[in-house]
Amino acid sequence: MKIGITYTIMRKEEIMLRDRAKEFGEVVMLHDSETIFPENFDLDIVIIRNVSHFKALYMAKLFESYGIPTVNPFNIILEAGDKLFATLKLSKKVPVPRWSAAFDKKSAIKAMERIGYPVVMKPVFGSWGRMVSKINDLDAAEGIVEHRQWMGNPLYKVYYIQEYVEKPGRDIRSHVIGGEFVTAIYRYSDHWVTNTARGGRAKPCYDEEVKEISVKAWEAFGEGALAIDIFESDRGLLVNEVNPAMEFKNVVRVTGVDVAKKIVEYAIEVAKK
Amino acid sequence: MVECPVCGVEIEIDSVEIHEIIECPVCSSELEVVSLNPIVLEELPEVEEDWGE
Repeated sequence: MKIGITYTIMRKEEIMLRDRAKEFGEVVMLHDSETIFPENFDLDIVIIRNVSHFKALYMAKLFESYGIPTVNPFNIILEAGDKLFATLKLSKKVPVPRWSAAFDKKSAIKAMERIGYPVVMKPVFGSWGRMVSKINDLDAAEGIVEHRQWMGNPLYKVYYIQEYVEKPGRDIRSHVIGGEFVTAIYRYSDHWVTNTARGGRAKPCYDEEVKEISVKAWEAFGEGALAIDIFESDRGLLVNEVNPAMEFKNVVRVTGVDVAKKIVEYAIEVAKK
Repeated sequence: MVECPVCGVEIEIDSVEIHEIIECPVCSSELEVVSLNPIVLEELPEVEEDWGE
């Protein structure tokens, strides 16, 4: 078995994946700076680990075009990697925070008023809580929308708005790989943004309801390895978003679950199909 | 010993991988290993707007 791993930087996750993949065969590390298409790649499967969403998306498409399956596949990176597309998928299977989408300065303000302040506005792409804004009133809304109008990337003119969900000082991150629930953690933070990438603290989460909703959220996509972010609300569990390029070093640290092994085993399964 | 490209301190490095990220023990800058023979460090590029999970 020849396993490719695309990557941008060698994080702990990529080292763990590389080491686990070596147990199953030959591993070819494909750094952004050394990967050129077209090329006659002799690979059975590629694990996509570029830290850039768009590089990951294009790499997956290119490898798939050569008949080499990827984990995650192009369609999953496309739909799980866009917060609005992901919400459309998720809302058919699991409860999600109330949301709205708008494409213009005026309609964005109306969309926020429709949900009712406070709301959360976040870019449809990106991660680590970057540019996720809690908007408490019209003044703040106008300010954020004005900034978005002047930003160059056209995706910032897609206004994706969510209700602000009051959380008990934590949220939940779960991992579902190939339909199998792998593990979950609570992420604690004094800040309303609870990403561990922004300093949130992690503890293991053992909860049957979390397990059930996580698998259902994965079923909304039907394949791949997904990290799922869940809120505890007064309406029960709500799936906030999914992540197709999961980081997991903190999960491994606090749960002891070998997430890298699970990803590699799933990739081998996909390669054999 | 390898020089930190940010603060200039000499860092002792045992074993690293190409493109691995290490932290300077003095200035805490995140550094990328861009070459192994010899070991060369560069400051980690700024996070780009589509980086993440």
